[in-house]
Amino acid sequence: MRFMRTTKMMPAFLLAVAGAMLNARPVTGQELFEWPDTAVDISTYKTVEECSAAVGRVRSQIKVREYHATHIDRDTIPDDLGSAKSPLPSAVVETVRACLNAASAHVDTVGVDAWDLLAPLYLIIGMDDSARAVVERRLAEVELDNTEDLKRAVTDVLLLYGKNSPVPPKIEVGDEIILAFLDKIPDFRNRFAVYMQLIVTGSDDPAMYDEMAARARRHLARFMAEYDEAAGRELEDMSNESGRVGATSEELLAQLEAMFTLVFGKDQFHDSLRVSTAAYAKAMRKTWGRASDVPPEAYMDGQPLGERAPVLEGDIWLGCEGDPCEQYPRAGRVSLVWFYTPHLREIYDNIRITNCSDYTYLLRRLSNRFPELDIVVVAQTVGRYHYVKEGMTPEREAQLIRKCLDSVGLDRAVLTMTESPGWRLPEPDGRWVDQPTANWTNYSFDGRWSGKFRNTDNALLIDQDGYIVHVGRGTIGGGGGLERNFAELIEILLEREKAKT
Amino acid sequence: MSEAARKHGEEDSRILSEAECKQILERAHAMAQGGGDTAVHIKSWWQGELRWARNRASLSSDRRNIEVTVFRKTDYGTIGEVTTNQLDDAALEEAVRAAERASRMEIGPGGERKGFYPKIPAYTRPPSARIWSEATVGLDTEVRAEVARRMIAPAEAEGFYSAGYLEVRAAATASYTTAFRDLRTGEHGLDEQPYIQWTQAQCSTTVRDASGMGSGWAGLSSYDWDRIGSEIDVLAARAVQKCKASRNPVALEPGRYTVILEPQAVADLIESLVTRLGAPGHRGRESAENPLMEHPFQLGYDNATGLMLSKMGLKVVDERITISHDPMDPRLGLLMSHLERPGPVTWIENGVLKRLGHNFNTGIKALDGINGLHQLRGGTGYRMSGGDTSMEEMIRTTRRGLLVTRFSNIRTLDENSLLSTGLTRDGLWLIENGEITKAVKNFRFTESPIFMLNNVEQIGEAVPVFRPTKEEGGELTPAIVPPIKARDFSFTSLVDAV
Amino acid sequence: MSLSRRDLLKITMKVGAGAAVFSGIPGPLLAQLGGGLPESVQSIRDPVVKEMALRAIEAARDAGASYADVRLTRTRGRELHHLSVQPRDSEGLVVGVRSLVNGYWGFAGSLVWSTDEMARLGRESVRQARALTIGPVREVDLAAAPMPVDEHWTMPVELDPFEISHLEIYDFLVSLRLFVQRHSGFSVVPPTANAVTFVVQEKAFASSEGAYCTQRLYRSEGSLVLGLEKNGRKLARGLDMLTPAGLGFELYKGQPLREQIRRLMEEMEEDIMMPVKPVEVGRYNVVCDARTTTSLAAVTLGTATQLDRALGYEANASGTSYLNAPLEMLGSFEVGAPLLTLTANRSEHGGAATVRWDDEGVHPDEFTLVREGVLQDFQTTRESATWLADSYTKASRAIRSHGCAAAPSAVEAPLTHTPNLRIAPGDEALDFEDLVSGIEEGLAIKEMGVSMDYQGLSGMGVSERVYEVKSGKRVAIVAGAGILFRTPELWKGLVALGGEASVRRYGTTSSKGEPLQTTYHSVSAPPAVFKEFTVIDPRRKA
Repeated sequence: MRFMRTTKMMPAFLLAVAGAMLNARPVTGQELFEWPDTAVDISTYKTVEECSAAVGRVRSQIKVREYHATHIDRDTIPDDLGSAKSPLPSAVVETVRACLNAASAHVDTVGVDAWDLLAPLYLIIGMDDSARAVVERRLAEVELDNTEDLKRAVTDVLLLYGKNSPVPPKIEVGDEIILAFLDKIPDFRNRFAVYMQLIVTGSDDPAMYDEMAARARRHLARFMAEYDEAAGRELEDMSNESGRVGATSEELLAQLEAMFTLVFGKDQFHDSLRVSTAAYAKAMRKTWGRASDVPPEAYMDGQPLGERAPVLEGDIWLGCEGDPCEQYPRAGRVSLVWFYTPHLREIYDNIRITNCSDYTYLLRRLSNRFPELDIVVVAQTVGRYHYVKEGMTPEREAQLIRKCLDSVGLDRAVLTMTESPGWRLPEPDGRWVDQPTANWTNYSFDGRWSGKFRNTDNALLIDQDGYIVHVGRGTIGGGGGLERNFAELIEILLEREKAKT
Repeated sequence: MSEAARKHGEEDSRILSEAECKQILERAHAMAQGGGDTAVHIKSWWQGELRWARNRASLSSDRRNIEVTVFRKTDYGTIGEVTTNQLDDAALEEAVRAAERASRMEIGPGGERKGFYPKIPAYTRPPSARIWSEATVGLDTEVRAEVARRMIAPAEAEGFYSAGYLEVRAAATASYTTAFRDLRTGEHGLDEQPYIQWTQAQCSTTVRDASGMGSGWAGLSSYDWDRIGSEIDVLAARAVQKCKASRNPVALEPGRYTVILEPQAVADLIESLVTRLGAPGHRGRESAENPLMEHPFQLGYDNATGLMLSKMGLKVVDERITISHDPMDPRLGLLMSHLERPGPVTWIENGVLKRLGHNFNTGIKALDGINGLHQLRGGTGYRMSGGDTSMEEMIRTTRRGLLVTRFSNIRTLDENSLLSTGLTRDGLWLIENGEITKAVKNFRFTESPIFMLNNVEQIGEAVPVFRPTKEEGGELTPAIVPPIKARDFSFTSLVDAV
Repeated sequence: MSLSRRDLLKITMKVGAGAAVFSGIPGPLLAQLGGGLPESVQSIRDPVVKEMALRAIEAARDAGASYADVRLTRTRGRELHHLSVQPRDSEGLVVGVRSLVNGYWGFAGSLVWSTDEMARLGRESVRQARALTIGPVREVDLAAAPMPVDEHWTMPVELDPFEISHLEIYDFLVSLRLFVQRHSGFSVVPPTANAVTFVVQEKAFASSEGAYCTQRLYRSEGSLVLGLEKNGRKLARGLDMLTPAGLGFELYKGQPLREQIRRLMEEMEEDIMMPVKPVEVGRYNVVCDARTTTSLAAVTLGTATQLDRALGYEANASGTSYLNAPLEMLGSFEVGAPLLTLTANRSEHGGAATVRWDDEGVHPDEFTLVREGVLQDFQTTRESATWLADSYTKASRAIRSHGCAAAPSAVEAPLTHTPNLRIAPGDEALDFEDLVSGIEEGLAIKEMGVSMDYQGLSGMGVSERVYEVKSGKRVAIVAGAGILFRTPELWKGLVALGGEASVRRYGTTSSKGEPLQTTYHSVSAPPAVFKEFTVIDPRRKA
């Protein structure tokens, strides 16, 4: 549990380092972390690209130095909810200020095509008006009848002031700009597209959830006002989200509402989950279907939400309780099933598992937070391992992964290892062709979701009765949002169980 | 170092010893800061050279240098490297510091982030002949001068101009690392290369007549000077004879000719093919099995497996052709220093492509059989199977064809077919009704070695050819190649150069 | 500036000094490497360097050399690419002594800078030379030349890459990528597609004639390859402004790179839309861009006018020359049309072969190889200059070396290497497009790569950018066209040259010698029009 300790002491520690990093002079006894860029002469920089490059470099170098000072990788610590609000290191701000002066890069000297480089720089140094001027020049160039270009532009702007903002987001400014822009768009369907972006493109900072919901509600209301005028009208050659043709304004409204619910109706979904997983799945599928305009059964490219989770198979089980092991996910337990594929990379001509540590920390935190939670890691032998002839067996592979899980504090997790039914091409080629394991096949749900688990790090949340509640796409550590979703749902499931008894 | 060398007193210090190389790592690692691992790649060479031209020696030289690349992977950093040839404490320490600064500029594994490694079971390295010749390192300046004189004499006697080059070299390389101590299998870690020292000798001469209308060449290289020293009169005579016989050439029409390629010409032509078998840099299976790359032995995409297939297992050239190498073959004298180097390998057997070089973890089965722990690399040296047809026989049985001494200025035009273009050089003759009738002006050819090796008519005895490494301290690339008679060889234009 | 050996490896930080106390390792070579070495050579101008140089000369003289010279070089390199902030640094200190005994040359080179080693090398070089004297006496005359005495020259560069933080250079490379990416469809991907190499070489030279001089020379070289994907077609083109040059970081910052990138993008857009035609073998009038003209000049005349090649000293290596009778040919032989004038120098600012003194201490002059189509001169060193004594005297010209002695570093013996070349532009202010517009029916070629024979006589060129020209316009790309030529016909077929403003300079390498040496030089030329190029399909077999 060494990592727990270091993780706990992080904030204070980080502050100290950050403090050290604010003044350009190296701190005594830290020459190893001495600024490698003290000799960079920003005053020679001439273009906005150079400034962008410098900022990118300074930011990453700060991250690197922080890492070398603390040996803690940001990816491995919980999302610092405040981080979005915390100011940029002064080194970054200074770099931009110095550079923009030197490059005498400003609204008029930089081509519009560089707006996405210049605007963030302005935001960093608080020249919001200039940033806005650049953004508006970009919008001024949008071809209003080109839905794609229009959507791209709007999204970029919203992201610039929201998620991708280099400084604490100023969502309201983004909205203001877009709403002003909206007035220039005559076509109803394009206006709809813009509203759609306004609702889905916000901040994913949970602290801002209510704020975002209120904002979305406002946009929705605004659209409804417009809708009243357009009420009942059949909109010809309508190409909306689903590319469907000939939707009515009613349908549009319904779609927009659904989208709103999907993004901000968390509470009502949670309520239905408190009732039953089936209810939750039904609600999710229905709303998703309306929002995305495809039938509920096609939910998220066939994600098995609400379906029964097949029992996992395995040739080797490590850390399983009871005999036989083939009973996971266990009845009466909330389970997190993680399809894990070790990424083997060649380093110094040696093979090593590189993703073993990088993506497992969030999983570990869930494991620590919910002692009642079963965590099952599903793995299969990897052909590439077979280069080690003697001594490399499925057992050995399982032990290697076990070792890796333990090292990040996932010692509670159950590991099931299936020998891959891969086969070799005939000599002299002899290459290994991986075949799906029984678990892969079972979890493809009659091909409705085939291959989704293959060589990916997807995780499923399964309730006490063995129904799938949630699927984490991509790597489990793919973001704090993922972790929070899981946490919330797990809590509800555990409460639900308690309530029964 | 060697007895012969010791006789030369200070010459003892021509190349670094194994102990010295090991010490460089230890010193560097002792200077290391910030934990992690240290590695050094060391190259050390000495060369004794003699050039002559216009029948007079133009330069005799004795040179040496080293190259040490220091790698530092600090804990939590990535790998930084710096190259130097200065090894006093101050210089070495600066190399280490600089490598560490580079190392710390990026985020790398350290502590818990290291990941886990399967322990490699012990293995035995394939045995290899010692590529070291006392005759080579012992060939003193005075002897070199005498050799040159003997090779010049016959040319001068004919009123020709002799130019040439004689070189003897000793070199050593070693790569050591502190990384993966726990993975060590026997003496060396996986990414280490044991200390290896080798020698190379080469001698070649070009004889031209005063008018510049005739030119003849002969040359030989080997790690062992004795194999060349016994041949120098033969080489000199051959160059003179070719010069004499190549004077006043006639111009022939470009077109397809039956060619009798002397071993040197064969080696020159198939070089591109041999390197595509998997020499480092050219890649083998990595390219052949990569849909995004071009490779002469790429077969096609297989939908069933979703893999790009290579031509391994298929017949790619005439069934009389076998291309292989064997580290134990003393006549070949192939250097087998590196752990990545395999034992004996047959690349092409009776015309069938058997193997392609590959990296450490390319495929799996591919790594078996030849000690599954290594990269399989080839192309640095090879032996090509021979036949029993003598040159005389080839000529006698040729109604109309061309006899080619060697090729020059070759370049590959098409990676898929290895279609190449280049020039004939230092002797090209017309054969009519079984006899060499006249000297012919040089041609530019446009042909693929694969095409040539599929049009083989006769094959002669395989002999060592001239293939020295140009790069100082560079590894050996010996080859044993037969003369080949092939039909329909494409000559595309006349070349006036002699 | 301070140049202690330790500094050579610095990136940007001060590092605690460590005394060079030899740590007692067995093995004579290491012993030499560790011991005897002055703690740190502050600069090539440090008296200790001269002391060492003179020691070598002294030892050679004492051992019986009639002439001796010595070179010490410290070469420092730095490589960077746009995907990593980590630089790749390298340094090398080497020394070479050359001695003349009874007309025979001996050379000894090594990596140890110490007075003892200098003495050994002095003796060794004489031993090497003396071994050759078993042969008949060989006459060597060294053309007289004024020798520098305690002089120093630093190649003038605006931005010393080793004085600038490598992070600054990295930022600039990244900014180029960002600039390219701003334009839809364009990209810069692999590390090699956006990389730079800087080299600084410090060199000390001393000779038994009392010469002593030191130089600090720079070389910068970069690559920037743009990729374009458009309607299913792919195109990759390199920016041609970053070829090797005797410049610092101003190779990047001193040029209008962004304008050039834009221009290249326009060309790529144009090319990718242009219809593609197969090769129609035949004879065409051809407009070559400056890049192609320089390549042609370098591999034909640049090679053929090396006197050592012409006289057979390279016969067993890279080859000889079609200019095979220098003495008869000088001043009379027509190598090309009257339009052709080719000069050479090692003094032009930014030239890749530019030096103050060559490797024999000679201050190179600017000289004319070809004037109005007639061969005037050859590339010479102090020894080879005297081989032309007769014709020089006949033409009442001074017998002097043109200062072409060079080698990549001190551990390699100097040879005749190509200086900077320059083809004089035409009188009319025409550029490439002007010349194209003058062509009724023919071809235009850009960036042709040329492979020659071993006499600089006949060659083949291939380019992906061969255009069909109809009534003054480039109308189609001729896929995979190549040209065949003989050097004399090539240059006699020269019918027009671009004007002064259209002259471009490119750095290139040339290799020769046994062991092989590769050196750098620049070639400047305007675009040119040649008549009756033989155009072929290089992939078509007989």
